[in-house]
Amino acid sequence: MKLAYYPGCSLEASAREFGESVSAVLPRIGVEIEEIEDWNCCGASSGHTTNELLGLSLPARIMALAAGKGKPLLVPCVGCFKVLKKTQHILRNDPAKLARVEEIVGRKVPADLRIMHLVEVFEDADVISRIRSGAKRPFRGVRILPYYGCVTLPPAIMGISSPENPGGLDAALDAAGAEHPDWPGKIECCGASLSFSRVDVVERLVDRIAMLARASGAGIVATACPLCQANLDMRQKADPKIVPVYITELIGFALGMDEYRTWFKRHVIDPAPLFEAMPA
Amino acid sequence: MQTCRKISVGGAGLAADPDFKAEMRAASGTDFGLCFQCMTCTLGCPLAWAMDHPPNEIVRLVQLGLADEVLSSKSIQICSACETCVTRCPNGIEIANLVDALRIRAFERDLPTREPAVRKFHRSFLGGFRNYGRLHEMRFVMMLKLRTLNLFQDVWVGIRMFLKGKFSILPHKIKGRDEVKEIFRRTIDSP
Repeated sequence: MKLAYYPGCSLEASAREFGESVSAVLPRIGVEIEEIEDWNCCGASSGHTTNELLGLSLPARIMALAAGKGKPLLVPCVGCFKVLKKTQHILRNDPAKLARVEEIVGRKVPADLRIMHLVEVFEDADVISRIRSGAKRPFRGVRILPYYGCVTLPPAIMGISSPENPGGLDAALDAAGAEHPDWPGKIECCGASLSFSRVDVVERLVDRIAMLARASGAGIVATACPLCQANLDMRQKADPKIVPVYITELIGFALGMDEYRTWFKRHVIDPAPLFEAMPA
Repeated sequence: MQTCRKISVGGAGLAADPDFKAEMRAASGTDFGLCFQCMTCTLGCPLAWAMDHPPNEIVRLVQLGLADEVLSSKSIQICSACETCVTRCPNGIEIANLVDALRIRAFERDLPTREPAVRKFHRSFLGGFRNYGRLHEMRFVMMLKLRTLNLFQDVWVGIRMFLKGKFSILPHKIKGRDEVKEIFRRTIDSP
């Protein structure tokens, strides 16, 4: 699988271990990624909630840059992914708006570009079989819950299969040898950027997600979004805390990559003791 | 738990704006007239408990033209755009688009809000990348602290993030930063 790649700002900063593990792990499981040049911030929630054309033009520039690669665009951050998909949906259905945005951006915007989230990469049978065959350090008997957050919503725009019970992370965890039972927190909201303005709200949401995870007999959840990860990593109040780990870090660990030590050091809740205590 | 605000239509300070409904219909592109108040949106909303008007009431307030009440609400700022409501609405109303249209109106006119911290967040976030093209988290967090005066909140988190190599002191400036500035100039800076 060959993909163009938009990391987004978080993967170079607060979610650096996500960016590092995406770049290190994907080539090992048959996914070739090529970063688009000179990309900009997608605007995140602050774009589409303050000015309509700002919220459309910032992601439109990213789409224009990706068009040159002639490949589907991989976006690992759910925030960026949803902004890009929604922009595409609006521009595709409104030629006048598309023309206006192209004029503001000064570039041709490809309304038909295929935009993919990381969880969709794990719907590919070849990728999954490479994880399975490469897992030198499988998570035998370890329970890890897939946590998708809001990546599939709304289904009509995001286009990911089984929106209220998606499967990409489950497939990856399964291939890495982990137990991944169904659990009710799978697509619950983490509170996203309210972490900066209403910490109390986010604390209540993540404590509920952690409670659901504990009730499902797990101590680890697999994430695929910098906001889900950061909120679970920094905003849990109740003990014992659930350990959130990016799916790419988990796959890297299972593949026997020792870079996991660098990645785990960047977490607030250090997963290393838990992982190093696992039977080899 | 947030308590819902009780309002009585026609009461003091709750005059209806006769044009508001049509304006929001155009701005949101969704036909919220189809709402029959089944409350599915509110039942699934992960943040309804923190709102002063749950999603079904937001729709009703817009239908009634009660612009001031809905535009100053906590709800339109608290919504995290997870779109569970849009997913489940039996009538296909894109409530998240309506909420975006409402918060854009409130932001553009800098209207009073019962949830000021969220707007301070958005201003700081935009300021954190408009000159560079990519978000400079250090600048964004500093701007947010100055705006909210929550100077000591999360200081330890910030220091740890810095030590873990997640916050850089200098911004990453993209080559096309003038293109990004131009986008700001032609959108949010233009009346």
